[in-house]
Amino acid sequence: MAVGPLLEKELFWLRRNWGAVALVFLLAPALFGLATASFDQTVPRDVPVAVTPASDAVTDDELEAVTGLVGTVSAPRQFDSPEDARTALRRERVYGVLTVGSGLYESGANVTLSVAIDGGMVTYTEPSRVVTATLRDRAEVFPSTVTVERRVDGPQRTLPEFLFATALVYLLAGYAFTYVPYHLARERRVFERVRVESSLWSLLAAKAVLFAALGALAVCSIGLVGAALVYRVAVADPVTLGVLGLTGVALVAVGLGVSFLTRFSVAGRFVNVALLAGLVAFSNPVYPTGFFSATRRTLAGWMPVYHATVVVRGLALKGLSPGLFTDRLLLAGGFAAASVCWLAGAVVAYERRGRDG
Amino acid sequence: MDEIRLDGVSKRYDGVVALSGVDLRFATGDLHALVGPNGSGKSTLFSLVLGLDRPSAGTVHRPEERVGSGFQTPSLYPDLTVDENLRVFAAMGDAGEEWLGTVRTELGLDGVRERVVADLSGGYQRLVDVALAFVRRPTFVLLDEPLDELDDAARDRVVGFVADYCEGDRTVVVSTHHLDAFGPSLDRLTVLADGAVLYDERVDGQEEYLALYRELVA
Repeated sequence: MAVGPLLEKELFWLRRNWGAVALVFLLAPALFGLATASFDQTVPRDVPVAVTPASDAVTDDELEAVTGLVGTVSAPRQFDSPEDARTALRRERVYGVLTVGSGLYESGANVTLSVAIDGGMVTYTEPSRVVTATLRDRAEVFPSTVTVERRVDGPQRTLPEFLFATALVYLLAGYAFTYVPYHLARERRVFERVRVESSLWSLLAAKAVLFAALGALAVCSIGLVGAALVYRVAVADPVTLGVLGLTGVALVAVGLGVSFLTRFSVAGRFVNVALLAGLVAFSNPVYPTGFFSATRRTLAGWMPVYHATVVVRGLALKGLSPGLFTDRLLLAGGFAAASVCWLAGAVVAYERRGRDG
Repeated sequence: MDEIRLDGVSKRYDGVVALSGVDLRFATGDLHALVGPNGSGKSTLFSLVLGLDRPSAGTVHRPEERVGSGFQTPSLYPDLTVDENLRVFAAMGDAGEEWLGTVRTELGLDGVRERVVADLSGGYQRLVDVALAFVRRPTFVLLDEPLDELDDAARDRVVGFVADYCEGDRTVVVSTHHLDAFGPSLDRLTVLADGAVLYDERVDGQEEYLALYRELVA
């Protein structure tokens, strides 16, 4: 049984592939461990919550006092008007709106602190009870009689419905960083002939048509399941489909750009898997931003997929107007354009480096 | 333009000189063999002619019509059948269904037309690759090692097909280690060594070139 020579072969392989090995077995585990540092807590102390006056009679001192009280279980942001605060709630810029009544420092006054949450943001339902309970406890510092109310604004949804709407985006991400690059890598042998007989641009155009159709098929499939389960998620909403399409284009372009730049190597596949893992880990797919740490809230803000998910939830799950998300829609379009430019540059670089092998 | 011409073409890869000051012309109607030892620059020259790479110096003049090509490593869609591969690339030209059938039959692919390419032997994949070079019926065809992995019968089919193809005003340039297989059909011979042209003359089917070739590359 000649194990020795085969072990020696593994040493040869290690020597030839030290870069990929370092990436996969040194850097990736280190980053994986480092990523855990972004989880600070299980009590959502950094989830943004709006603090707004119920009327013009509310003083700045009262607002500051309530902001300080709620600051240990949230990241409060003051808004001048309840309307602005509610808009921010619907846009998922904040996850609760704390409306402050006047008279907190008046003995004998009855003051209401109202905590409103979005019925569609299911994963904040229970944490909001913690915020409410904390306020009830701490409001005893005021000389007035403070009543803390909690209410749910907008249509209430179930956790499956919430996850379903979120999954629409991440389904496309899964395809973009795994199946699509694999599909093209499998046809890599024919690229030389395609470059001579046609062009890689024509090939990509044909693939764009194919994967647009397949992506639509996937969305239809999941949509039918949602309909069968009587989920109140409007998958067929045109703007939702448009956002999904733009996000899909962008993510596919990013993944294929990596593939072309790495000439469809194993390293490239790992980079794509790492991008997918990072995207899922740091785009806050399920919990409110800031749920685990302020760092993760900041990171999510940089992730176009997070913003796309917010828009899809807002439109398909909550039935909100697309006009509420103009900035994020523009971001989705900009991300798609930038990603396509990235892919184009990668293809040019691939062609300029000549033939493979 | 009815020729492929290289004027003073050089190509360097990472400090290695693959081609150095090559002047060559591939005229219409010729069966032109490009030979040389391993690493002499034959595949590099083909890459430049096909536009897959750019020369470090000099100019490559190509005809307006796309050149047909057979590759050293067969360039095929692995998950399609033989017939599907042929149809995809035939559709990029207008040679027609009858010509596609002729190519498939003459090269011995009728018996495997419904087989998925990935499941074929290396020899059959080579034949499919050669067939794809001709399905558009282009004026110029470049074949890089078209006889590799073929048995004697398949070699004879390819050589016969290529010789017949050049009867009109069509040109086939063959890079090959099997020079003797092309025998009396050969019109012109170019010998490359260390990236330079050692010999480039009409041979018109004469067999003296075989001895000359062996002497040049010895």
